Amino acid sequence: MNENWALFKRNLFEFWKAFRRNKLGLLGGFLVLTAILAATFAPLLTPYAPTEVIRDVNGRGLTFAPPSVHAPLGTDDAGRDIWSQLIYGARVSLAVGFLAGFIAMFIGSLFGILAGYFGGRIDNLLMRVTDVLLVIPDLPLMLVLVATLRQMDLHVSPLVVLVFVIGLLYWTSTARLIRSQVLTIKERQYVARSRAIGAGHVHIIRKHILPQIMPLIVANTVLIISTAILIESGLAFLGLGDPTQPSWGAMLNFAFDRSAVTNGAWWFYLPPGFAIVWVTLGCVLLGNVLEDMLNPRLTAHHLESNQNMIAIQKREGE
Amino acid sequence: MSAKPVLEVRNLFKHFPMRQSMLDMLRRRQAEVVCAVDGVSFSLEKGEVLALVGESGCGKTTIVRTLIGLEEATSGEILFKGQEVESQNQNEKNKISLKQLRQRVQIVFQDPYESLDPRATIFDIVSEPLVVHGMAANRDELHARVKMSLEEAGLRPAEDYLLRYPHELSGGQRQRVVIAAAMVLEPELLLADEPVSMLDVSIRAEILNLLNALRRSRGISILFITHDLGTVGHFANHLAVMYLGRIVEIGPTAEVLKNPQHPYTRALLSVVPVPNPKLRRKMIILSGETPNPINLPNGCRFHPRCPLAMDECKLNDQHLVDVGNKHQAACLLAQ
Amino acid sequence: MTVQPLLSVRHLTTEFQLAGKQIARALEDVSFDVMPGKTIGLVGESGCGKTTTLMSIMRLLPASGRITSGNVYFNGIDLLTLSEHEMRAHRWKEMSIIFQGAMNALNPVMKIGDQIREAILLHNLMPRNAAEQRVGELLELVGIPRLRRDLYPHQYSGGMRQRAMIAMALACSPDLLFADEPTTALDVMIQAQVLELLKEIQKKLGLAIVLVTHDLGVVAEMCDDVVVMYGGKVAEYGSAELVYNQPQHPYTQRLLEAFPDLSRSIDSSTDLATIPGTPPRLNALPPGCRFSPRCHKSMEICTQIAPDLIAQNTAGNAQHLAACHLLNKLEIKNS
Ligand SMILES: Nc1ncnc2c1ncn2[C@@H]1O[C@H](COP(=O)(O)OP(=O)(O)OP(=O)(O)O)[C@@H](O)[C@H]1O
Ligand SMILES: Nc1ncnc2c1ncn2[C@@H]1O[C@H](COP(=O)(O)OP(=O)(O)OP(=O)(O)O)[C@@H](O)[C@H]1O
Ligand code: SF4
Ligand SMILES: [Mg+2]
Ligand SMILES: [Mg+2]
Repeated sequence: MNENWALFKRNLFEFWKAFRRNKLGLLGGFLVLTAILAATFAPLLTPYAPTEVIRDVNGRGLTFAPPSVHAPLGTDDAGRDIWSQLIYGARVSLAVGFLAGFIAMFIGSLFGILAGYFGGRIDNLLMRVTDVLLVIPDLPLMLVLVATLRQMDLHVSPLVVLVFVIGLLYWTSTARLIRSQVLTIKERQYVARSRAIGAGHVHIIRKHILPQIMPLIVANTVLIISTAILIESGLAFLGLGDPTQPSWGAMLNFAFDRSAVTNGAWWFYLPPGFAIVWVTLGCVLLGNVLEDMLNPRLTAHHLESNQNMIAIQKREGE
Repeated sequence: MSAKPVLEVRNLFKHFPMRQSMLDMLRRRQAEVVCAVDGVSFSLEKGEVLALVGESGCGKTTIVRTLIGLEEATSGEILFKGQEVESQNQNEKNKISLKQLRQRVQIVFQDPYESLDPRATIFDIVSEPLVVHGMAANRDELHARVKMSLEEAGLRPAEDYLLRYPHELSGGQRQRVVIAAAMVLEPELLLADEPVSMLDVSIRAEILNLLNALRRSRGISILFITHDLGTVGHFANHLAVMYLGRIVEIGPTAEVLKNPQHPYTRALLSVVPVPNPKLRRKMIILSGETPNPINLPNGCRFHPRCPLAMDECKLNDQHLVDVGNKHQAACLLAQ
Repeated sequence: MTVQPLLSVRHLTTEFQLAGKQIARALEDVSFDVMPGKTIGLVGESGCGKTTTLMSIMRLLPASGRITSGNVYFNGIDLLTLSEHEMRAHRWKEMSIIFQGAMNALNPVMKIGDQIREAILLHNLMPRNAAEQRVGELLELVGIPRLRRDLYPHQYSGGMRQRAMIAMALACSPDLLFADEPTTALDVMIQAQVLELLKEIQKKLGLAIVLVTHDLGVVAEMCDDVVVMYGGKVAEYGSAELVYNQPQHPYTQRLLEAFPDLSRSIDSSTDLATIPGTPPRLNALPPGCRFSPRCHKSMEICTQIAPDLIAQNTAGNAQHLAACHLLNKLEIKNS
């Protein structure tokens, strides 16, 4: 156990050493991490509750107030603090994004691995399902689904509906990606060696396939989370979110509903928009960098064709 | 005591059907088959080394893969210590199961850069067979056996290697790890598929010595596959020369090397580079490429490239015949 | 009458810039001569600097590589003093190269014949229709029927691809051909065919060949002279007969003993000689003789001072040089 821990620490350290040098990755990590921290410590960072109406000395709601000492990012049409809504909104957006992302990742990885490894019927089924899902436009389908599900008194929060709809529709690209990776890994010689040793399917998948595709899964999950956050915002903007829980999309929805744009209340719609960009950009940067970095290291060796030399040959030919 | 041979192969065939195009299927053309292994028989006694030599594509790797059940034989029998090996997915009585077989027969692949999982530590790799077969009672035993195996394979002190990754090792060290993983279950038979052809000369000798030492100390049998006759003399008791899916000459190594009967064996021997400029000989260079195992020639398979071919060679397929001293060859001239 | 060398490499030193401002000296003080119409072999383990030597001579080093000192005389002209433009006039036209592994890097979606023609046109050698004519001639020169020019690389076997690479290198009838591991990855029979082809072409066109390989046997079969390299330096250099039959440097001796060889006795009870340890890494070169950590005859001075390349006493005008303190001492005693 002890040495596994030591190994883990060493791997982590090496990863950090490499990661530290990557500026874009650091930026992405910073963006995502700040969003998570803000969501976690929301009560400490906000002067008001998100639904609390700020009143002036006369007890009237401070509506459409521009940024001031009382409300750092101004107030909305009902006199609620934008900053507080923004920070609490991170909770909803991130929760929906992460949960939907994890559902999509789980289903996608499972299907991808099974289809890639066993091939045959599972593979055919997967490919047909993904074909169908790929050709149907996402957003209309999602709108219809969410709307229908909300009609059917399910006694669950609209957010749960959202999480499941996004999660259940967004696993296909992951599944395809992982399937194609598994297809190549399973032909590798060390998998053949493991089979020749007598290892069963479960062992091979757990010990040889999963560790290889884990980086891909991690990177892909981060990317899917960003998509999920965007979609949640989109749906909430269209009024399909939970009106009782401020999310960034819902804030934009309110802003447009209450004609914030025509009133020139930029502090109403710019911050949620900015927050969405903040998190999704962070996720995309982080995801791409992780994908690059976690690829298995390959060492050159004298019997392999030497790409370097070919490059030279080309250059010389020019 | 007449012990049964460790491995006996009788009339092994392995044909791969080629993928057909839609058009051919509609035309009801017969599917072409690749006759990778086409009637191979041999046996291997305890503690002996049988070298299987032949050009690229003659079916050596396919034999190994079939022996260990990675491919299903088209027909033929494989007997391990006199017991037949079950074919895939069938629980037949009186037969040794694939899982049991895979515990007692181990394999070393050609490419030490490809046959180790890049994300597994050396400990994971060498302990894998023990874990798969549930052969270690507890972690301490697992550790002890892994270390022993590594040290036996010449990776000393074993502690230095346990937590390293394959990419941190040189080619020779990697091949040692592969051998350590193969030896950790104390197998009775080792199938070594070109274990040294990707390694530098100085490392090559080390690995050959290691295999030789293991054979002497453990008495294991080795099926040693190579396309380089140079390594054979030092190592193998028996030598089988393969051409296009068949064994064309087989016998004790010294006998076959000194007194080659088949023209193909002679050609192969003549092109092995000798590290001495004074000993340059006339090479018998066969023209053409290794023929394609899809369109097998009629008659002796070697006749299109054979420097000694006669008319009769084009007519009759040749089978192994005894030429004395346990030496067999499949050539009209050997009779 | 003495023949002037075609290529004369003198004290060539090449460095690579590694990550983090580190500098690796890949070649140090490499000197040898290539006589017109002769074959010289560069041998050594992987990473000893063979390819770097060729690239330095051709001035095709990657951006991180730099020749820090030395001269390369080709027909008496120092190539290292030429401008890039002047150098181009020599490349391909007077000296050309078969890159290591290039046969596996042909463009997969372009016909072989077209690729050869493109190479000719890229160097502005002749008009398009003449180039097409030349492609046919070249293919026939290397033993590929003209009609096969329209096949794609995957339809060629390894041996044929290598022939095509040779054809490409011969496009402008150079005087000097560098062949970097032309037969590594090929099996013995195809290797013999390719080597035979090189010999034939040499006879026909009278060109000089620098053959790079790690296979001592191939060098013995092909070469008039041998340069044995170790860790970026020349360990031993001389006529093939002398180097093989009276190896002076402990590294050459060990390398030869480690080479499994059919001409020696057939006996599996003795081990092959090995060279313990691994070749030095460029960023951690040992002080003194680079071979000293692995040398069985290493003395105290070996770990302190690098030995010079010293001429050995030889009969006639054959030359033989080796860099080892053991030989140095004898010299001192003798004088
Ligand atoms: N799965 C497969 N499907 C179709 N043909 C195959 C398959 N595996 C091998 N073959 C063919 O069978 C023949 C024998 O292949 P095999 O790999 O056994 O040769 P080998 O003697 O090991 O060659 P090498 O020295 O190159 O490793 C080859 O012509 C190969 O193309
Ligand atoms: N572009 C480069 N940057 C840094 N080091 C390099 C570069 N190219 C080669 N080297 C180093 O220079 C040394 C000599 O390399 P070189 O390719 O010449 O070896 P070689 O003798 O041709 O080996 P092989 O038999 O593997 O082809 C090696 O240690 C290699 O790591
Ligand atoms: S100089 Fe010393 S270490 Fe180097 S080869 Fe000669 S004896 Fe060995
Ligand atoms: Mg093979
Ligand atoms: Mg090289």
